[in-house]
Amino acid sequence: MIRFENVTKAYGSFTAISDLSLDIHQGEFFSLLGPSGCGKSTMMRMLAGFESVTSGRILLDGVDLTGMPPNRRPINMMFQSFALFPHMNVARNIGFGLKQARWRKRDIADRVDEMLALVQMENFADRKPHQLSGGQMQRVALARSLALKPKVLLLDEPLGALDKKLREETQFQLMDVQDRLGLTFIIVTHDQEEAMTVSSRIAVMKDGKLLQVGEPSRIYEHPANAYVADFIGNVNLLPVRISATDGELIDVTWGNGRNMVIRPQPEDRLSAGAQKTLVLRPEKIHVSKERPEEAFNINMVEGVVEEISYIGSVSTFHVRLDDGVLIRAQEANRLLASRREIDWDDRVWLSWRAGACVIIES
Amino acid sequence: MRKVSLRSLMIAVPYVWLLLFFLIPFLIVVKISLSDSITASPPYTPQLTVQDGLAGLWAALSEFDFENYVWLIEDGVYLKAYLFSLKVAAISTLVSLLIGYPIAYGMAKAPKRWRSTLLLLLILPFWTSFLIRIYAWIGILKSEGYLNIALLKLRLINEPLNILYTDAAVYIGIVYSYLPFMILPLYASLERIDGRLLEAAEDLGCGSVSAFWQVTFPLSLPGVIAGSFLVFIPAIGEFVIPDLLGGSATLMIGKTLWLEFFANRDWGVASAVAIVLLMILIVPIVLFQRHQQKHQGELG
Amino acid sequence: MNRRFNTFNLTALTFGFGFLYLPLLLVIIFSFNDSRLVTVWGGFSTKWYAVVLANEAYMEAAWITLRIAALSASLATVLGTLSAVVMVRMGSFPGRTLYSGMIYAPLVMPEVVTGLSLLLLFVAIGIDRGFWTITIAHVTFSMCYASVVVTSRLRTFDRSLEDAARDLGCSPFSAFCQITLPIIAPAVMSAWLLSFTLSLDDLVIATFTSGPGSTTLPMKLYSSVRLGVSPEINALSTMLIGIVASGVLIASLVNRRQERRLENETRAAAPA
Repeated sequence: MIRFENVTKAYGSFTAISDLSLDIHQGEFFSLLGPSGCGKSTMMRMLAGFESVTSGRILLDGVDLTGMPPNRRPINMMFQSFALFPHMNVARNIGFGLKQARWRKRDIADRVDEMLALVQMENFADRKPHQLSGGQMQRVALARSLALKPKVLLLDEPLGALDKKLREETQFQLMDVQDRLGLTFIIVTHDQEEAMTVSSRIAVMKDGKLLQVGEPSRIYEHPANAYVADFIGNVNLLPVRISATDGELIDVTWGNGRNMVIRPQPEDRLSAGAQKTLVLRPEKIHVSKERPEEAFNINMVEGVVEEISYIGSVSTFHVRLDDGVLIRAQEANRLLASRREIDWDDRVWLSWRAGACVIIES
Repeated sequence: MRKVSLRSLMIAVPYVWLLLFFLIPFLIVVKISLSDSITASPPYTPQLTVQDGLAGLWAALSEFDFENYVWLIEDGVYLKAYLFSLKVAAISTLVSLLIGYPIAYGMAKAPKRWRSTLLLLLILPFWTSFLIRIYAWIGILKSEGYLNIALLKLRLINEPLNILYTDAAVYIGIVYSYLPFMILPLYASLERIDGRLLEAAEDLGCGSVSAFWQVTFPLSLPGVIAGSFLVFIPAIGEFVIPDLLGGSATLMIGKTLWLEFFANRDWGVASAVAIVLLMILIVPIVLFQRHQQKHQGELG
Repeated sequence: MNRRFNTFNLTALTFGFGFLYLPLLLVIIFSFNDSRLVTVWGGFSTKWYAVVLANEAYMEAAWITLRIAALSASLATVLGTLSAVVMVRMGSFPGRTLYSGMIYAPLVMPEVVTGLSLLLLFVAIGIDRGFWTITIAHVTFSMCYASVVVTSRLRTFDRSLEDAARDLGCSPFSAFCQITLPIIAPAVMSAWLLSFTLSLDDLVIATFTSGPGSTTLPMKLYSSVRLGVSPEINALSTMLIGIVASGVLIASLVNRRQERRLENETRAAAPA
């Protein structure tokens, strides 16, 4: 539906976006995720028409958008910090785009009522923006950007201005609205949790390039490279060397000549002796005081607990192995913290299954 | 295409206005300051018209000379007037700072709900006529004025003081007129000093006096500098105050220019005086500009 | 800065504001003096006000001054706002450095120089000096002040509001008119007010650029003041002070209310 074709955006000598191609489909909830300055906002502003494309082109339903000003594009945007017009009340804010499009007064009123109902703000039509809470402003901004029935809605850090609790509620509200209207939503965010929660697909960006595009679970479990793995969630990245490549399970060596069995993905093209990086998420590692039972598909190592960080639902253990490697492992706090069996300086066993880790390029 | 022309139109309108009524007049001043006194004196006929074209321009250029400037240097009156203006401006700035600082400090420390009212009270006299404010001092300072009456009644003096039509009256007038310009930036920089900094200083062993000199004063320096320029720059070219409060001996450069133009009708010299005045002002103005850019956003 | 407010501070404020207001207060008090001797109190009277109001020369000058002030302030506000937009929004264009120089220079230019240069221009192009030349002169320096006032407001203006309007179908021009202009209106108003008072107050530039039959009130006042203190001038001054002070007070009260509202609005619009 939306296609970025070899899009490059340069400001003078600085290249914000370099030769980027991307397809976004009808009805998707698509996230552009990356640290600040990675070019994600530029992508959105190019799509909305606020920035021109230096080279390449952007197509919407096969129509080239190049040179089309923002007011002509069937795309609307919900701005970071909402950009509600402070001198207009809620109803006039929502009806603003309709007025520009020369709708009849009665039609505007009907549409505004419809939008107010959609975001459950019927009782606030006459309020000025400064009389609203952050969450209410967000809903008005959403209603305003949906009033013109755009084909695509762009959301620029839509929840950044809200506090954590409200943010979670609003995420579900957004997903609900998107689901009901069947629109394409494109959201720009630096919050990986937010991206994981709301989107059907995520594009991870860095320095004006796409690092990986895929479903949230794919990006989390099978990151394309170390940067993506590290950007999304906690991770242990271990340098490994492939020892043997035959069979469903293969051996790799890591640390001080330690051996590990892993279950490679079919697409991993591995050759013996290759240096790779192993992605091992902390929550996939089990921590125990007793040595776990041996099994052909279980890896286990022994080390000393250096640090425990307790964040309520889970605790993260920093375990120093005997050869000096530091591994982070996470355990759900099934017991009360006062009954915790493992303490600082305890010797513990870490164990994980062969299928729990992923091999990526170094 | 239409967008481009709207944009150029928006730029062109104020641009052309300023070219026409600021830059060209200024160039005329430069030109006349370089012309002979005779040709420039009224009835003044423009030596240079557009019809003359380049040849005319060249002819006019070759007629230019520095006679008026030579005259300024040779006649000691002008040099004295420039130096005196600088002196008056410098002393007035210093006095304004000494009076203005405690007031700005008091305003910054006043309870929050008073501050906007105090600020309004400070700006209010600035909005009332400049002339009236100077006029008010004539009534106070003249020999049978309110000040002498009060001092005589209090038996502090036996004879009325002669203040009006002296340099002292000029200082009073300038300080009085420009005090708000000193206080405003001072207040702005003092007001934004975080009170916790002073608490921290005292917590680390400073007395309150020493905390003032080591924390408050250095942090208020941008305001001190901005305020000083805001008094110093206009004071140099001041005309009304020395004219109304000063004596005939008080020749500041603004007044000299005025007299040269309206009394002596020597346009060439008046223009040369103006050019030299601007050249004197350039240094403080550039310094001020630098300072403002550096502290942009720090002061209102 | 919020620490204890002590006696020293109170004394400084009392003396400071006393110094600022006492001279004006004396003028006001003695405008109600019955005696012609300005420093001797001869009982309360408002007769000098009647004298001033009956003086046709003063009234004529006041009328001219008001017309010039209103006209030049309006023009200066339009040009100043335009110029602020040029400075903040137009990015770079040929001659931008010269332009910003020309906007800031009149602010620091001594009045005598501005007056002289404009006079020489008017002589050079052979315009009869009078009402219009004073107005042009006032527009020229007021527009720079107006530009500074509007520029500083425009710089803090949240551009995403304009982007939002364009996203919802406005052309850039229409977005500016519908969104930006209403929001910066208080600044535009204060630019007008500032230009108005600058024009009302100006003596030096008006003297240079005026001609026969266009004597402004400050010029009239100046020639009277040179002759010394008189109860008529006290009365006239009191009226002027009264008009300007009440104007400024009303404007600042309105502005303060608007600003408070605006502050709420902007705070609410950007809950960072």
